[in-house]
This record gives sequence, C-alpha cells and structure tokens, in this order.
Amino acid sequence: MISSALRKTWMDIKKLKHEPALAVVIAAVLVTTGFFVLWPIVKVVSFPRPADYLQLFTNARWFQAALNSLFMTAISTLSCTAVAFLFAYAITRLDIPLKGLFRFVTLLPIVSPPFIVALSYILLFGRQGIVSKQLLQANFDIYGWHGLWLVQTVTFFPYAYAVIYGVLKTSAVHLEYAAHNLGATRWQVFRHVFLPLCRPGIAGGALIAAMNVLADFGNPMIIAGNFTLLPTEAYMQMSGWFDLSSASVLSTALLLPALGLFLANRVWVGRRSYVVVTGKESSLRAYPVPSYVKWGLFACCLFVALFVLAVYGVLFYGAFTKTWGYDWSFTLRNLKYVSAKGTELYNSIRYALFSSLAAAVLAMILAYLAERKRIGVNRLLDLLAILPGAVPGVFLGLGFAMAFNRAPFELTGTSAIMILALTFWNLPTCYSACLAGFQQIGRSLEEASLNLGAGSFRTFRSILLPLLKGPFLSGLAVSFLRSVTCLSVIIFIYSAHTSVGTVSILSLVQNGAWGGASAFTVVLISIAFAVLAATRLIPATQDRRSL
Amino acid sequence: MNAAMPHIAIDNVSKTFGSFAALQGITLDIPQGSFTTLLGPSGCGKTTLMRLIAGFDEPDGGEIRIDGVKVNGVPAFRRQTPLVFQEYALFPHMTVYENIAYGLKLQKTPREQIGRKMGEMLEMFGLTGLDNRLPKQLSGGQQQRVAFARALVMGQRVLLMDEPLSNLDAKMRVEVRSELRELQQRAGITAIFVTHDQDEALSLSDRIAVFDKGRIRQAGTPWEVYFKPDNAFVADFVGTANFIPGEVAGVEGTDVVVRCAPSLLRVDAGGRAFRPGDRVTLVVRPECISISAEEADGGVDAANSWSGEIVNSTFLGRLIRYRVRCGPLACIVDDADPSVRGFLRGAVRLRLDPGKIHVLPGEGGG
Repeated sequence: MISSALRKTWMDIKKLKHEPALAVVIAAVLVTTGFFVLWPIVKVVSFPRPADYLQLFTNARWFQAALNSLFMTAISTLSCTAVAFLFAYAITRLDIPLKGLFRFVTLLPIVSPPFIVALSYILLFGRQGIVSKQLLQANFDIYGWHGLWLVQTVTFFPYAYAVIYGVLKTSAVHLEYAAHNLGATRWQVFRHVFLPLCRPGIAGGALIAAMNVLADFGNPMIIAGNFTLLPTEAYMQMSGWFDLSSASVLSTALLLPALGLFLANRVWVGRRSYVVVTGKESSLRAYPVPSYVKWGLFACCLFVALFVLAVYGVLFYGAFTKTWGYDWSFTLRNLKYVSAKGTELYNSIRYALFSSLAAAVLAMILAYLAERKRIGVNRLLDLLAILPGAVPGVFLGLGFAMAFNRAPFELTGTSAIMILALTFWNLPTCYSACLAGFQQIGRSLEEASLNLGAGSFRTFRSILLPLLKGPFLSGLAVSFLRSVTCLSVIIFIYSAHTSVGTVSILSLVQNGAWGGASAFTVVLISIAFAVLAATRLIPATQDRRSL
Repeated sequence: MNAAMPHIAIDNVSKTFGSFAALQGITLDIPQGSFTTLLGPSGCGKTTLMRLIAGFDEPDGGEIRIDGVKVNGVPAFRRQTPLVFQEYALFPHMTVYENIAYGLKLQKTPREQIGRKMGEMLEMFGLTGLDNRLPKQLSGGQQQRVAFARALVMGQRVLLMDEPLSNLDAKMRVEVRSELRELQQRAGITAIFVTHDQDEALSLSDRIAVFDKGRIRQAGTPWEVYFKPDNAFVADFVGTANFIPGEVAGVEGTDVVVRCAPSLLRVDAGGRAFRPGDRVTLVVRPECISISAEEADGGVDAANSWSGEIVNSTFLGRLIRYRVRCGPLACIVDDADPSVRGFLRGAVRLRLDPGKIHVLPGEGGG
C-alpha cells in the first residue's frame, strides 16, 4: 500500500521533467514554505528540556493558566455558538426587520482589532465607565473571567456565525416541509429534522470559535486581570524575565489543544472556508414560526446588536472626549497621540501591505500546485499552507523570535522578521480563499487550455489568474486587516524601530490613556474599512460570483 | 503516411484509479478520416480513453500512437488533439472571439492570418456578430458552436468530442448530428466521439466501439453492432432486443435449427460453427418480428411462427410496442405501422424472419 503510493508519487515527480520551470517553482515553494513554517515550530518545541515540560504540572501558576485557558475556551465556545446560532437562524429563517443591521453586526468584529471589545468594555463598565459610573453609579470589578467571557463572546461569535450561516442557508427547507407533511409539529421538525441537519455546521462554528478564543492574546491581556491564561503567561515569562524556556513550554502547551481543535475542524467540517464561500439560496420559503418565537428571537438579536453598536459607539465617543469619566467635553487632542506615533502607524500599514501581498501571492501559487497539479507532493504542500492556521499567534511569534536570532538567519529587530511572520501567519487565510476559488473553476477550463496548446504557466496566467481575482483580493484584504490589527504574533518580535500601532494601543491601555487608545483604535478601524471599501470585500463575502 | 496505418492506434492500453480498473487491455485502430464513437454506459471507461488520447492522464500500460508516433508521456499541450468538452469549458472571462482565437495566439499565428481564420470560423458556425459577447451571454446552442469553432480553428486533423451534444435539447441534438457529420466528412477529420446515447452513435459513426467495465465488447460498423452483436451486452445496450434461450437441434449447411420453448426455429448461423446439443441464445430485434391478429392468420402454425397473447401495449407515436407472452417467453414486438389497424388485443400470431435472427453461443449470450 505504502510502496504503491510512493511509486505513484515518484511517477508524478518524474513527469515533471517535461516542465523543468514548473519543477523549479515547486522546489522553491516547498523549501521556502517548509523552512518558514516548520523551523520556528521545531525551535520552540525543542528548546525546553523534557524536565521543563513537567513543570506544567508542578508549577501551580502554570497549571492554573492551562486550566483557565481550557475553561475560558469551553464557556466562550458555548456562548459564541449560541449567539451565532441565534443570529444565523434569525437571518436565514425569520421574516423580521433590521436584518441588514444584524448582518452588519456579525461583520464588524471580524474586521476590527481583536482587543477593541475589551477596550470598549472598560470604557462602558470600568471604574470610569459610562454605564457603571454615569448611569448606575456603581463600581464593579470588571477584570477577571466573567468580563473576559463577555468580551470573547462578542469578539468571536461572528466567526462561528459565518460557518453556521453558511450551513443554515443551504439546508434543505423542503425536508422540513416533508416532515410537516408527515404530521410533525413545528417543534418536532426543529428537533428531528432541522437540528440534526445543521449539527455539522454548528460543530464547525463551535470549533472555529474555540480555536480563536484559545489562541487569543489581546483581550486577555487587557481585561483578564489576575486570571492568567497560557498566551498571557507566556508573554509575562518572556517580557518579564526573558525566560525563553518557560515561554516555550507554555506556548507548546497552547499548541497542543490548538492542533487538536484544528484537526477536528479539518476532519469534521472539511476544507471549505465558510467565510468566503456561500451556497445557493433556496427558493422555498422557510416554514413560518409562531410570532411569539419570532419576536422573542428578534428581541435577543436586537439586544446583542445594540451591545455591539455600543461597543463601537463608545470607542468613537472616547476618541473625542477630553478625560474619560471626568470631563466629557469634545476634543481633538487625543488624535495627537496618533500623530505622535506616526512611525508605528506607518509600520502597521507598511508591514500589513507587504505581508498580505506576499501571503496572497504565495497562497495562490500553493493553491494552484496543491489543487491543480499532480506533482506527488500535493498533500505536503497543502499541509504546509494550512499548518500556520493551527498555530496560535503567540506561538508563531515566539517561534520566529527564536528561529531567526542568530547567523546565518539573524533577523532580530528587522522589518523583515515582522513581514515574514505576518506573511506566514496569514498564509492559511489566503490559501483557503484561493483554494475555494480554484475549486469553483471547473477543471475542464484548464484542460481546455492545455488541449489548445498552452503550457502550465500560460494556462495559469491567462485562464486561472483572471478568474481568481475575487478570491485573491478577498484573501489579500482579510490578511491586510488581520495584519494591521495583529498583536499576538508581533508582541515577541517587534523592536523600538519596528513597533506597530497595536503595540502602541496596548501600552496606552496599560497606562490608562483611554482617550488616546480609543483615538488610535478609531484610526486603525478607519484604515481597515477604507481597505474593505477599496477591495469591496463586503459584497464579495455575501454574494460570490460562481464561475 | 502509410495508407494502411491507422491515424490513431490504441494498443493494449490499461488504466487504473486506485483499485478501480478503468480500462483493461484496450486495443482499437482509428482510421484516417473516420468517425469513431466510443459508446457505453457511464463508468465504462470511454471518457477515460478519450482523456488518455488527449494527454490529460497517462495510461498505466500499453501505447497510444498518433500517425505512428508514440505519444505516451507527451504533455497535453503538445498533442494537437483538440477536444470539445461536454460542458464546453469556454473561458468565462474571454469573449467569443478571444475564446476561439486562443489556440491561434498560443501558436503565435500572424495577426492577419488570425483575422482571416476567425472570419471563416465565425461564418461557418453562424457566430458572426456575436464575437464580442461573453460566453454567459450566449444560448446553449451558441456556446456549443463556439466550443466546436475553438477546437477546429487550428485546422488539426483530429477532433475529440466528449458527449458534446448532451447539453442540447432533444430536437436540436438531432439537427446538430447531421451538421456535425457533414462537417467532419467535408474536412476529412479523424473524429472520436464519446457518448452513451445509442441513437447518436448509430446515426453518426463509421465505427462504434462498445465499452463495458473498462473493456471493448465489440468494435464494428453501426450495422454490425446493431444486427450482428457479438454478445448479449452489446445486443442489449444498443437498441432493444429479445433474448430467446434455446438448444441446437440440427445443423443444415449455413443454417442451424434451434429448439426453443415455443417451437423449432431455423436461423442463419452467422458464420459460427455449432453442434447439435449446444446451448445458444437467439437475439431478435422487436421490429424484426411481425405481428398479426390470430384469427386473420387462420390459426395455421407455419414455420418460424408463434402464437401468443398480448400482455400490454405502449403507443410511441411512430410505432406500437407490444409485450407478448408466448408460452414461457415474453417477447417485445414493435408494430411499425400502427395507423393501419390500430391496437391489437388478445391472441396474436408472431412471425420471425430467419434472416433477421442472430444467434449467440451459450446461455445468456456470453
């Protein structure tokens, strides 16, 4: 079995002698991707001695951090999935007003800096919070697991929503009619037909939410207080004591469940990227639900939507308010923080631009080779392209810091390491967009081109590339947004010269400079939306042309 | 080129996908300028063979030769075997003109020559005036003509077609058939056509290769395949057939006398040698049996004539198809002239023309 598979691989490789240029490209892509994806992982995992790993269980603080990470992931996944299901059900199945608003609310957190909800939460409910101090005149302690739970739910439910929505939208309404026809009540249809059919979608959404919550660094950094989690603890070890070994142990502890969730997601939900690909809308109208259910669900959605809007609204308010909690008068002074940090902002945009371009181009080539050419190493290329998606940002950043800190690969403190780390962090995003794009283009188009006499390169350039503009751009835009708003990957590798906007925001928050932090965040979001508008990602995610 | 040499020669070709044997020891010669159809049910290997000829896949064993030159290992883009795809595979981002001219541009054909050839093609396929449209702005029939024009514009001597008519409606399909045959004969192209539609195969081809489970079960002219099937599979797949089991009772010259359930039948042995006692299967097409009301026949039991009882009848417009029970046998009989006497009912007499009965060795026809 294995030998026949190897023989086939060898046969495929041998066929490349007809296209030597292609063989060179494959070798170059394989070596580069392999080096930048695997080498950092190997460095981190192999750095600590085996005895150091045992400390995970003996060091009470670390053990608690691991438990906290799992606990937070579990409860946030539950709440994210519930809210996501509520929105997906309401938007696909109910005849209610304000669907546009609800859709907008599910998109906002995806395109925002990851820690923005945490920041707003402080502005709303913190000691100087507009709700806690002004409205209720109460004083809560918002730092800790319950605050983080709420923040993670609002931040990550849209990721679960994207998957669940994709499944609900394509689920077969006629089966529900069939069940009604056989005498089932509405509740029975929901339980016996609807729910079982969308179970894979719900599972997929839950897994996506879990992966994001587990790996998140920004929100816990700002809101978790003494509730330590693996990513924040790893950061403390590194920034406080420059203890590489401990940081490696903690990051590896984070990598294992992340890999598990990632594998489960691949096996369970398959390769489809639900964020960019949506199915066809059914022409049958959904069976109506009783009005008390409908309006009840509508009220829940409205509540969440208003909360999300408040999160963003308060941020804008904060950006133009003199002293949050004391002096609510209008000012443009906070923008001075932004202009003082012009270099960081410039770096953010520069690195995001280069890294997203590099990721999109590399992803396009990888997706083409893995999906369209029988070259014997397709599975390996596919694995290399998606693997960074399983690696938490903190781990990846630590890996780059450790892998490229001495000759001949010394990149410490350079812009190159920032760009490279962000490139490979974004690779899976672009890759899955391109892969989905390739899967939508019938293979016969490519065969037709070969049949008419075009070689691989010509076919790629004149047939596939023009047809993949959409996925390429959406991958590019999402990567750009992720890079601009990224904190976890760069927290271990930035230097005084290569610092970026998110690092500045974090330090402003840590210094209690809410106004400056808000203003900085508003500028970043504005850039993000400008990019979105430029590439028209929003229509592209909702209505994909099928080729 | 040697006149006797086939244009395309398939020599003992096999191909497996995983553990599935898609093609097993296929040998087929395709003469210059002929129209050859690969016919068979889905999954029989016909499309696989076409893809091997086009170079999209490589055979695991055997050789494919074009003009006597082995093409195994030659990449698809060097084979010069234009293919018309089932779903046309028109490039959605290119206009009609760009689609058709794509191959010419790849060959770096001079601009004025491209213009001239394009003019001819657009004219020939009735696409003049549509050259700036995108494929999605065309009807199905127009898209199909673009696909043909794109494959033919480079003037190659081979044309491969993978069920190119299957996306057209029934009426149009019949119209396109004759146009296609005319075009192929006029241009003297060697055409290979894949289909599962027997009518298409019979009406278009010089030769038909009937595929089943990765093997060729018979290759021959449409006439041979229809009236002289080599085995029951071919007889059953191409057209409708009655299979009548029997035993050879005697051999008289080129004829055999076969004992089957209703009576003895004298049939032409078709060049095969039989001995008394051999089990055989008789293949009789429904239109080769004549049917009449029992009373009109006067009840005389003539040679090669059976009496039966109509079980049911189906009106198909140009004929009535009867299902008739003759003792233990059920026969399908077509009355090709239904307007004369209308539906028959009850007892009938069937007459089998010995010249139109085909005999296959063995039970079930091998």
